[in-house]
Amino acid sequence: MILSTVFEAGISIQYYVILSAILFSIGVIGVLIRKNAIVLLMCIELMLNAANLLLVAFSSYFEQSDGQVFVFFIMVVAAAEATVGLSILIMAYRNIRTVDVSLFNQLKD
Amino acid sequence: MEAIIILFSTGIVSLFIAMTRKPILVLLTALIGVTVTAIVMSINWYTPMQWVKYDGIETDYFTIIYGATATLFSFLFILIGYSKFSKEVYHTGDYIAILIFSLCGALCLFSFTDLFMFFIGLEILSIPMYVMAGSNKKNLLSSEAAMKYFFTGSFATGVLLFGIACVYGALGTFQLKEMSEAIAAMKNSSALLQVGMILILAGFLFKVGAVPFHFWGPDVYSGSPNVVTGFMATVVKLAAFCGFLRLFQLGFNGLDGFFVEILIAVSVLTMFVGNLSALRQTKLKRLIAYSSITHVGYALICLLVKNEHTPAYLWTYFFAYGFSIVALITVSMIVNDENDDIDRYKAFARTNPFAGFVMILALLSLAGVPPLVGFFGKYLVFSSAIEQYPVLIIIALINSGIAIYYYLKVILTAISKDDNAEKSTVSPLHAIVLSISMFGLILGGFVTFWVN
Amino acid sequence: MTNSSYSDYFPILIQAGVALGFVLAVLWVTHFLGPRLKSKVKNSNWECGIESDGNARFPVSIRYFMAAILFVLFDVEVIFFYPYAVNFKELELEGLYAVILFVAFFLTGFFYVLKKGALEWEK
Repeated sequence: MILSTVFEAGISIQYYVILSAILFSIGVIGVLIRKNAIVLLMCIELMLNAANLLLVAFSSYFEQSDGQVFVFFIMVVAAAEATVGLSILIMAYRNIRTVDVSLFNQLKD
Repeated sequence: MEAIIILFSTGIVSLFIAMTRKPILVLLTALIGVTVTAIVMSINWYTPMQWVKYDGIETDYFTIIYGATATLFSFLFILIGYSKFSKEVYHTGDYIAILIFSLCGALCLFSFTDLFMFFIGLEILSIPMYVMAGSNKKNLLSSEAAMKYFFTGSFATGVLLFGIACVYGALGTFQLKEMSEAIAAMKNSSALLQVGMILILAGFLFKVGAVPFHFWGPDVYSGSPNVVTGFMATVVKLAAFCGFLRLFQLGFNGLDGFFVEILIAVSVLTMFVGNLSALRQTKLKRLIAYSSITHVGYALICLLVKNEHTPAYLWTYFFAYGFSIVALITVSMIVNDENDDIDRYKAFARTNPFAGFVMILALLSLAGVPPLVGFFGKYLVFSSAIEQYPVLIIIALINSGIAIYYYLKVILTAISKDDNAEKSTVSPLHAIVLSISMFGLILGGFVTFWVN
Repeated sequence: MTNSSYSDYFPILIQAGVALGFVLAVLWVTHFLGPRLKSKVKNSNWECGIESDGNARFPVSIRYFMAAILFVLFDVEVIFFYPYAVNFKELELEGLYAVILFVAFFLTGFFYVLKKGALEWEK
């Protein structure tokens, strides 16, 4: 029943907002509770992609292309960020031989 | 726009010049490029240049003073860092170019007119800094700092972007001007807009290291190489503050209601947490980190005041703060201690009178002692808000009082007697930077009056 | 988006149902068909060929990471070509200049990578 009402009305903007909010929350929770640095990186990508989805959805809703252009920029920046992040990870791995972020605890008061 | 193009080309050129393996050439290229950028920007003051037209960037009065300040500090940091950069001939160009690219991002943040340039500028500002934090490759602490900075920074980016997406959904535009018009035309504020603004605010507080999101600051500051710490504390903070102030004032018509309450709470918490943690620090860079958290707390007061002079007050504040940081970082480079303990500075003012004198001036300026430039920064910020938020200013003044304690402790360590103390060598570049920052600290107050 | 109706999505639903049904049916049927054997040889990774030697997780040379990371970086630039390709005719010469400038930028980056020796396989 729910499915048919959705289809008859077209997929309205609310569903996109809810979906991207869920994706964003999964990303945030992942960053907060996971310990593996590579998983953290993936969660951050998930957050960025939630924002992408929302922008594309709104862009199509307003029938203008601004949002999609923004998504291109976000994708490129995300790639640059992933590159830098992975390089930092490799460098840290060479020094400490692990990607478990909870072991990075040398700096403290 | 011309300034950004020149600066960017300088970065590229110094990358390739570094392949000749002559660090001095890289330094000269970078310094000439940065100076030309500053000159081009100052010409804009009198006659706006229009060689390159781009809608996303608009040069106004504040762009120029903020840009000139950021350029000046970057210039000083390249000078300070040269002794360290030139040790690895193979990478000298990379280090200097990365700092210059970061400055490009800062210039975008001083002049954006839409959220595209805002986001791109913020990322160009931050991503090079992630790299620079880890530039001490063999050092475990440096990798750790880079890792922490990277994860908190990109987390903040994610939050900020989701906020931007929500705001776009509520307003349907990325242009600051159209955004403020749409908000003004709105009868009752939409939930989407509120959520978006909260997320953007959270991203901002993350980037500048205000209290609920400050935990990364001290670790990153103490783990990074000294020059990078200095650069983060001055140029990056100045740019982030200016960018978000621009966004909030031009895009969102200033903050009010609910957001003001959040900001007041954050500001008070930031001051207290920064100060009380700084009291028990034994390492200079950690002390600088916590004191910079406190200074973020003071600077947040600027965001609360809806006033056309606010950007000028904020500028004065960071201008004053920057000179102190430049001087302190230079001194820590001169002492060059691996552990960075404050005890290592014992009798420093006796063995190196000039450097010690500038260090004491810098600390006094941070504390806000009257003839120095730090006093003017604090005075302008506090006096602008005293009518609207008297209690907040009283709390800020109490905090300034607490802060004097730990600054004085460092000063007393520096002038105490120690027969075993050795004289540290001051390289000519460091001496030049120290003299410049001394002039800045003493005479900066007049400059701020002239600008205001 | 608002014009779409239930009937537009119906084929997709059938497709999804068929796909899911086929997979489930095949899994169910194979459960009963054919004999079942369990032995050490059957369960080993390789029934024939060279004996496996050492751990699969041996350290990989940093060169592979470099190549992979650089690929990620340069690969994404393609997304800026896509909008240009779509609007190729309308943008005329101005668009061409912009794309040439863009390509020049990242060729500079590529040239820098080459000069730094990041892609040299053996040093």
